[in-house]
Amino acid sequence: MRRALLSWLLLAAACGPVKEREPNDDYTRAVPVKAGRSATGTLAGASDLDWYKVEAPRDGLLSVRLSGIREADWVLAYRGPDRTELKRVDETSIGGDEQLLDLFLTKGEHYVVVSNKNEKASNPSQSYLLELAFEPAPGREFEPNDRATSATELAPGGSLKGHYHPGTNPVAEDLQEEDWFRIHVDTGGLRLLNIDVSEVPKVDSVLEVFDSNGYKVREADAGGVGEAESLRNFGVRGPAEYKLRLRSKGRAGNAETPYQLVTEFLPYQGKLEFEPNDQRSEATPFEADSIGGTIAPAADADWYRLAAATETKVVVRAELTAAAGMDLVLQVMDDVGNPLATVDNMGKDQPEVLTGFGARSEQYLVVTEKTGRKGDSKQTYTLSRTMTPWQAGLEYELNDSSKTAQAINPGESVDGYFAPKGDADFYEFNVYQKGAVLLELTGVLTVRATAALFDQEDKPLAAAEAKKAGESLSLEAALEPGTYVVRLAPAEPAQANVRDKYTFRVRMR
Amino acid sequence: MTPRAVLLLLLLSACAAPKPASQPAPPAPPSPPAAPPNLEVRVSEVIQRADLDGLSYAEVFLDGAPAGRTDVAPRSKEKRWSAALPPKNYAVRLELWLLPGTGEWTRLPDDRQPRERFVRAEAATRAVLLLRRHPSGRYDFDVSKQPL
Repeated sequence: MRRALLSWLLLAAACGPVKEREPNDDYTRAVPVKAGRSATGTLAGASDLDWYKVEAPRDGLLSVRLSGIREADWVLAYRGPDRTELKRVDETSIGGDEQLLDLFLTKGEHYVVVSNKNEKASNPSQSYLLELAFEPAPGREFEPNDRATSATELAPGGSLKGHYHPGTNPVAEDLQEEDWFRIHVDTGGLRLLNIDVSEVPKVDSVLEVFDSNGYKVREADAGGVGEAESLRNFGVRGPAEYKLRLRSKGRAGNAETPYQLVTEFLPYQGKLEFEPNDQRSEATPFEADSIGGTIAPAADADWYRLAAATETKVVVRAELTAAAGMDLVLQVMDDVGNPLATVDNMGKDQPEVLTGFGARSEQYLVVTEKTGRKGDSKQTYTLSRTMTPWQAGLEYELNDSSKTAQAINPGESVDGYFAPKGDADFYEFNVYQKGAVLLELTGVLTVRATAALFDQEDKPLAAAEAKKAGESLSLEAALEPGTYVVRLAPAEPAQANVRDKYTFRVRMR
Repeated sequence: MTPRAVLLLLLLSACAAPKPASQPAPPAPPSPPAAPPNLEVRVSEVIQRADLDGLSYAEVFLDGAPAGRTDVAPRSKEKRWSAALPPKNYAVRLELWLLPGTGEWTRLPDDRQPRERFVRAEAATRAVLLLRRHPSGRYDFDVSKQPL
């Protein structure tokens, strides 16, 4: 019985908290404690420093919790095997607990240092409890990862947990606590990377992506406090290395609820945008019949490169589906990025259509959100296109000015569209014999058409207007030999119709 | 001396006498100065690569009849033709010819030639037709008037 009691007492002594032994004011006299155990100590004086030497039996993750005592304003620090301070927390004030989370320890000796900021503290009798939890490391954030150079490795397609803790980083110049991660892609080729960061109460997070030159290439900050963040269709051209930076806006932290950082790594098949495609030089090749994308973050611009052969004239038709909650705009840019046409016929939650556009050897389709203030990585739009050989008798945009008027011969007709909004179509014909010319235009639903005739010196000669939308019109004039231009346009710039064509004809009487 | 001999002697002396110098021909009246051209054509192309900038020129047709050709120069350079013409509204057609890297001068196909346009030539102004061809095949036309 006595032997059993003695055994129990010895066991209790071995498993209980390690008692601090003063003086332990520097590393040479640090109190040894195994990772996974706990320690108790006291604040011998306001300037007391308590060093603990933490022995890690293997690689793992250490979390440290320091209980508060009266009058003490704790500062808790972690130092590496060479005693360099690597992490410090000072989240609470007098009497508050402090925590260090997700510290990655290699097998060996490390140090935890307890100190106090309150110069007036005098509480040598109350004990604090220092708990050192030790867990396996895989699938976890590795603190300290407060800089790009100490980023935690994240496998493409992998996931991990971490904490927005502490809220502030006392050793950083800007006090900003950041978590950095490194994604390295070994294999060549094109891939898409999707990243999701789960929501954490009280935290408004920001996710940023940096390339190997340190340039920020993407940012996801659509969510607010307590909301998730998501990055979609980020294009990766392997081999490559990217860094992610995750931080809390406003420095709110949360030591209780971890975030989950999940990545998805997909082969690129040309059916989705390849971010970043925010400018002409990074435009995603548009080779399939359709391509999907998202407007994220707000003010995102998605560039797609459309190539066409120049041996024959080709006409492009493009359709952009709606994205919920957004008013999307489709633009056509020339080979150096100058705007050629803007399609904004419809409003929020509505599709857009580009009609009858003459394809150049290289041009770009650009999708944006009209206000520049909205983005949603979960709302995917689809941009589809058809390219058909142009045939005589079809409109070939751009024919928006007398300088770019489309040629038509007397006796011929052409089918075209009053689209997009603000469209005006110019046609040019020659008269070789003096005579009367009749210009005829069929009606188009929702559009009240107008026609104006100009001579080769741009002098107006005649004009006509339909009485109401959908009505046809005609215009007759006696003309001398020369070149003439006709301008067809809706009476109101806001009128457009991407579905119904007009037919315009020139006849010599 | 007989009268016949006297007459003969007189004739001989007339032949022997020095002839008077002939009068220089009056100067020709000055020709009127050539009329300045009142119709000018300038043709160029937008070339995106230096290796495509071969030689070219344009044949000029007025009202369906050949009227001349521009100078020969690289495609990107402006090539000109001009003429002094009676005032009239002319149907101007330009026909582009290219010299490929190897081979002979080649006329652009009909469907890639610029279309015919009327340009009015006047006595007191010079009409300048500026034609620029883009890689897409599109043509920019512009007619401006300059005082003579």
